[in-house]
Amino acid sequence: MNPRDIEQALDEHLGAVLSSRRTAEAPARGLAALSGKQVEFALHWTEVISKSNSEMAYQFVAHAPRALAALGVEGTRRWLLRALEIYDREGLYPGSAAFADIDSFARERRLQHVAVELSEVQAVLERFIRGLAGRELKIATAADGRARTDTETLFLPPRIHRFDRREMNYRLYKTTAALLWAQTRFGTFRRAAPDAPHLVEHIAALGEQVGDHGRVLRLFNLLETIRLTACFERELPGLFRDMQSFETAAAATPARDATWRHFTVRLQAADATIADTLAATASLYPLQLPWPAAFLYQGELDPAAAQAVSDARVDSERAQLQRLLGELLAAAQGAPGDGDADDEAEQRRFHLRDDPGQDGGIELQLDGEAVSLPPEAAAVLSSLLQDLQQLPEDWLTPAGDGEYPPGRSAEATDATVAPADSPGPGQDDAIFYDEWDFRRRSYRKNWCALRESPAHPLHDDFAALTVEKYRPLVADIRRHFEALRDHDKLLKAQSGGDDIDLDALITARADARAGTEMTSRVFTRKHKAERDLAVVFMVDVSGSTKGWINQAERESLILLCEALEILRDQYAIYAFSGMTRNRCEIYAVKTFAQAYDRDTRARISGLRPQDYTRMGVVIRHLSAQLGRVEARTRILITLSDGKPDDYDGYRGDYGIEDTRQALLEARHAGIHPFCITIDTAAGDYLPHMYGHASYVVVDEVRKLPLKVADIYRRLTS
Amino acid sequence: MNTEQHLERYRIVGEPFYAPQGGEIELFEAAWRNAIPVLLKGPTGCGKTRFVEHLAWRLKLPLVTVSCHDDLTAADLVGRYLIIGGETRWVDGPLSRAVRAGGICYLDEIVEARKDTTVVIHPLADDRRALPIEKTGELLRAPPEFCLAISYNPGYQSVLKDLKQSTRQRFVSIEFTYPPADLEADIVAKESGLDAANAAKLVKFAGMTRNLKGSGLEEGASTRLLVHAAKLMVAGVAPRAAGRAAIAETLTDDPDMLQAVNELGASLF
Ligand SMILES: Nc1ncnc2c1ncn2[C@@H]1O[C@H](COP(=O)(O)OP(=O)(O)OP(=O)(O)O)[C@@H](O)[C@H]1O
Ligand SMILES: [Mg+2]
Repeated sequence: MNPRDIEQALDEHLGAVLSSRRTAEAPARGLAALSGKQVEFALHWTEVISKSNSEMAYQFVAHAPRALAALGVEGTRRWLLRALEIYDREGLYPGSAAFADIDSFARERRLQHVAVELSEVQAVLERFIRGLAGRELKIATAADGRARTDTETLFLPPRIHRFDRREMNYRLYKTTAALLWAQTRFGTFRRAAPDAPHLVEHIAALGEQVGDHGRVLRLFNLLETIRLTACFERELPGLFRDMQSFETAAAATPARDATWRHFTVRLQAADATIADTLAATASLYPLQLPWPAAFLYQGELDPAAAQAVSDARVDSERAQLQRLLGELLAAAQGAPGDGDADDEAEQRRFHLRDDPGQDGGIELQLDGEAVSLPPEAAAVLSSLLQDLQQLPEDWLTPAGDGEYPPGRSAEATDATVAPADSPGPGQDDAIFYDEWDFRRRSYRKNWCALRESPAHPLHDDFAALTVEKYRPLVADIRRHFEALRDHDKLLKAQSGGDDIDLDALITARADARAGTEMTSRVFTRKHKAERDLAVVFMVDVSGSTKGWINQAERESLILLCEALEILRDQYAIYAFSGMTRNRCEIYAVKTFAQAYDRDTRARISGLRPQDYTRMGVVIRHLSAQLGRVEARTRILITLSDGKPDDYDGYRGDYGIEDTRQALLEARHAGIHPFCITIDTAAGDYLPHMYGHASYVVVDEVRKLPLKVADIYRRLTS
Repeated sequence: MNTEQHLERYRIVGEPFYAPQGGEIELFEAAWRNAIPVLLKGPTGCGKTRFVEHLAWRLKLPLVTVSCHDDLTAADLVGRYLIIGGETRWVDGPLSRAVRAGGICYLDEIVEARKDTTVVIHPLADDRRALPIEKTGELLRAPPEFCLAISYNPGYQSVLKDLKQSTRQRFVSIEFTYPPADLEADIVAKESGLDAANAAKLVKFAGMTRNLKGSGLEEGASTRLLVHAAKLMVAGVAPRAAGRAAIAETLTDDPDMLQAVNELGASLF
């Protein structure tokens, strides 16, 4: 439509509000720049609106081009309907103001209705990705909005508002996360062997060979996404359909070129690997074909970050694997004292059975026979095989006595060399504990000096505020815990009681008739269930708990105490931290003897992050404490945020193994250890330390206070 | 007495379908031949009960199953006097009945029983192989065919439901896990009549939920749940809806987890 015709149509509808000073010429010029469909839309609505008010219609048409550009047709329709609503309700002036304010409408609309924030969906996505399996992956916000992964964390944009349907934006989040997951799972960064080049090196080489490095990476990413999308089509067709649904929405232009097609068909084959993607990139790049648009869900590649993370992981997992194989071998060898066990060990070989299938289980063999892998070893092995197609034979050499993986032993020896100021027993009020050295398979005598002192109190309203903040939850916890406490048992066949036990009476009568003496135990009696529990909480207040974690721990303790007071279980709370084996500190927040009172609350409030986490010595100390309490069931619950870690080398395997040993000692003493952690990577080491059923990961710090009391309830019912 | 007749009810006539995971049948038979009681460990719904039924059929033994609960008394297991028609009569409990008949007595979820009930099996479970019945003064000696089997799920996170060492060290332990994927798909297909492709997808779905165990889910989906979902699908329920009803909603009430599990199901179908 040309501007003249438009002006004429407008004149017709707007006649009443036009004058010689205000003609339809300017709005008509604005509309003329739009597409035919949009003009039609605008004229139609101008006519409709003019039937209620011509001035409103004028305002509409004056702003329509800008609205159409900013909001699209559907958005514009909503915008004008809302302005009309305001006009109906509030009159002309607010009505026309609503037409003018396109920007805030657009923002509001996006944010309120359709944009999806990462924070809303992170919890679901984390679980979703964890369910898809493979290695544990964290999800974090990509501040710059670039979706990518370093093979350990998936970085996702803080918000997605690509579509004007919320569901589609959510779907885009899900598929973007899934594709990044697929990069780690289906080998985008996988190498053939430890000495093979990393993806970042391949790309650099190609870049030098054919041209622009950035463009090579872009083409590679596109082709790799084609390969991975085909993996989805085969293995996760539901997700594949989700991915396809964008293609119509975002009209990707398919490349018609035969060479292009030839390579993409190859990439879509079930046995395609990263090598094929590299080959395709090398061949297609020089052809200067037009590339199809990037996939909406494809994110970016950051091969340099992936290299760094993967190198570090492979190193530590290799050591872990060898240690676990050592344990496996020791177990297979049977009880010690087995004659020439050592000679035998040298002939025994682990071997990985070749299994090309992606999902085909890993089979580890020992001297040609399949061995069943403990879950921990299976996890390490499968993680390694995600990084490397093949493990060199010597990586399967078990580490045992005196045989340590290179690189580690140096650190390990450092860890155990006594610091200069080695404490001697009898020094001040310290208590000395042994520590387990897994490499020597023996204890270091009186190795750690531990001092116990009362936690520093802070008299403020922290406890009251916490109870207030979680008021509904506190009510809930009370109700649940009361149910636990009041779980009356009806004791049968008692010699005295509230009611007659008919079963027992009949039995007694029958016994009497049969000639035996009639018993008088024919009553039932209500009985408060004897819980007879003693529990110690050991709370990690190392430096890493600074900030949210510390706050969440303190809140959890308040809620926990409120709950435990209902149960009347015996309990004690200790916080621990320290620096080096000479200065292990433990702070009594509440001893078994102390009541939960305002001083206790003040000590909880006053807990602050300190230094490091040396766990073994604390477990030993508190186990001893627990042993002195009269109770049928004794529990030691650790609240932690990560691995054992101390300044003087108490970390890695050394710290884990000592902690594990201390827990074994506790178990032998009849104590049930349990761990509540917020470390989402805990699956890697906690099962080894605590056993599979004895820990819980709370995956969000802010949920800790909500969960701790509940976990305790489940643990003891 | 009518024990003989009674026990016919406990005989298993048709072969219960059981797909072995490797060696457990031989292990059980060997333990049985050597009069050693058996402890079946494993998560819920992985085939423990089915396994015992299958063995009872195989060894042609009557099977007496007791589901333990915290009100179960020793008398409930051993027996008691009843007054019948003005006369007192001793009536065997399930345990004594199985001992007398030389059958399998299967105590399901043994940790649910009270500790003082659990100890009555001790003399039966060591080499005495006898059950003293205090009330009648009888000492029941177990015939060679008699077999005691108990089951227990070590995954429960309750310190109060732990099996005492003095109990567990009387048994040979057979560990059950979920079967390997292709076998589990076979089981699901056979139990429900579902086609192999969909059965394989269900198993994959189960694997996903099992990855979530310990990070939000108490347990992953068991074989039993898969069979349920498969049966719904065979009955015409759409796969996603079947997965939601038989698996996701059964596993969790947590909204985030529920959505994630549903997404996992949807990604496969
Ligand atoms: N190996 C198997 N062979 C055949 N069917 C199996 C097998 N494993 C599981 N199933 C199927 O799973 C269902 C549940 O198994 P079953 O009832 O034996 O579990 P369970 O281990 O006894 O569980 P619970 O501990 O909850 O009692 C069975 O009814 C059967 O359909
Ligand atoms: Mg069962």
